[in-house]
Amino acid sequence: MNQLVRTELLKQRTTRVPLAGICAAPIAAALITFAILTLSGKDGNDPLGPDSLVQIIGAPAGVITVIAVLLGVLGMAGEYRHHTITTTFLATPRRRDVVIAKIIAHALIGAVMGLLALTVSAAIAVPWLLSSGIDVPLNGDLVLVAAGLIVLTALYGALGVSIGAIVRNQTTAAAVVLVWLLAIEGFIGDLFHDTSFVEWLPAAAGRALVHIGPNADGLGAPAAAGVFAIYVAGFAFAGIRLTLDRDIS
Amino acid sequence: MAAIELHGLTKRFGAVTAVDDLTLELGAGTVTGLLGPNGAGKTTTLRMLLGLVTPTTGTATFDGTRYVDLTDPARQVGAVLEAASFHPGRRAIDHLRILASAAGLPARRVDDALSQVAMTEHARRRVGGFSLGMRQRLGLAAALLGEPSVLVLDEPANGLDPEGVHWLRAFLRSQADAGRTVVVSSHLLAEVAQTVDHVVILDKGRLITSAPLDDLTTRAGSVVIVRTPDADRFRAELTRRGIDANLTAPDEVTSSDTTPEAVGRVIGAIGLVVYEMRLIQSNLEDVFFSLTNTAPPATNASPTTKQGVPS
Repeated sequence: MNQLVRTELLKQRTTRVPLAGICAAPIAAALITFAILTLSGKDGNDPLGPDSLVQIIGAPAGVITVIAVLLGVLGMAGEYRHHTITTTFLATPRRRDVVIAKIIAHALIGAVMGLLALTVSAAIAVPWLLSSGIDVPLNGDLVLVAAGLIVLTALYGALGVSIGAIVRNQTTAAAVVLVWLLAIEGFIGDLFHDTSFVEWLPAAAGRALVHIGPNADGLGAPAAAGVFAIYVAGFAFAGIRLTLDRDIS
Repeated sequence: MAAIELHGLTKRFGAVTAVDDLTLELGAGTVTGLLGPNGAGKTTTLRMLLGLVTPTTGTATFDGTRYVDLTDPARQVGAVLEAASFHPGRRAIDHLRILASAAGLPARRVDDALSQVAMTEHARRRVGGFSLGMRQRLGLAAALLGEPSVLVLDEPANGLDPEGVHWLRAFLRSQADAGRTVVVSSHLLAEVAQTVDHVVILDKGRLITSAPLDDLTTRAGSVVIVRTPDADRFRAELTRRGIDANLTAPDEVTSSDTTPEAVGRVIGAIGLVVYEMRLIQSNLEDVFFSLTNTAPPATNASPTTKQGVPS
């Protein structure tokens, strides 16, 4: 399995889009961090305070998780689009192992993206806050958000592979993911806003992983991670099952 | 044991039967041409053999083992199924490095395989800029990575220019000379005829014949055509000597189931004036069109001809 994961990582290193996607994570984190820091206390935004670092570190999650899930979709469905799935399954006829290796590889890529985003956000925000005379305590909330960001981007990468294995058509798979994340789940949330049901939806559970703290709502971080992981496992199981049964013609 | 065995292999896509109860064995060290018109089931057969398509019924094995159960498939079987199996943004060398990594092959094999298909100078180019011929070569390099004993090639001559076809012919011959078992599907019958030892003909998913190439062409026979101003007398003389002969034009006699030597002896014996003498040997195309009950394309109907005059 290690060899297959290395192979999948090599695939990602030898095309431009995954590299661009990975580079986009720290760039997005930097832009979002700058935006929060410079706009705080203006136009009705909360002023900077001791809890700002927690919010700043979690803020890029919305963007980089989308990048991570799309890279996962491309990593799986892209093989069907370019017909490289044929050579992939000729080299490794054990299809289940191939999909699992892709899931692990994209989880690693997602984790790296989360780590890069976290590092950049902290590198910008901590000196800024300190120079503004704001204390930056290394407390449990901060650690949970930082860990949550890395876990969340990893899980989104794995989710993208799983959805790509189910849908196969790269454009359709990407559209399904984006429409769900950006529209459908919000619509469901509006319909059932007064029930706790919405907290158990995938994107809501993901947000709960990086929005802990005094203003957090929804599931706690461990429960949110568990719920999201169950979604990923369900989609992964379906993706593997379909991949095993599918004719490559 | 046969290198490749198909037993009762059947594939149905809904109401369509793509391959119908196909049973055959291909010996080790042979070059087999898998022939058939479009829709004959060639590609589906090869994909079932390689574990990419699941048979509805039946089995397809290499030395008794299904492809998906081979312990080290890249070292046992190399395959090229389509010229488009590449990410256009990836460099040729990276494509091979990925396959070598997946198959657990040493990295040096990448350079060796590129060299074998004369692609070393293009190794660092992105595949998106490759011609179809270069993609075919890269596909062959991928198939050769594990130095397999069996090569399975689906329409490898598709889209190649004459130079590419010439190269491919020499390549296949070199693989056969190296002792590899090669299965090549193609609709370019003339190219196949120059390369293969054994022919399998499919039509509508069914096996029409599986036989050595020489047997097939010999079975189809040959004719000797003689153009002479004294055609009537010559035909009568051939018939009198027990040689089947027909007047196919006012100055042309066609004799079948005979040899140029036998006809030449008759010509010499009666002192016949001869303008032209031709041997028309039935070729793979004739056999193919005969067995599949299809007609040759109008622009591709010329037979293999050897010309000569009697001494």
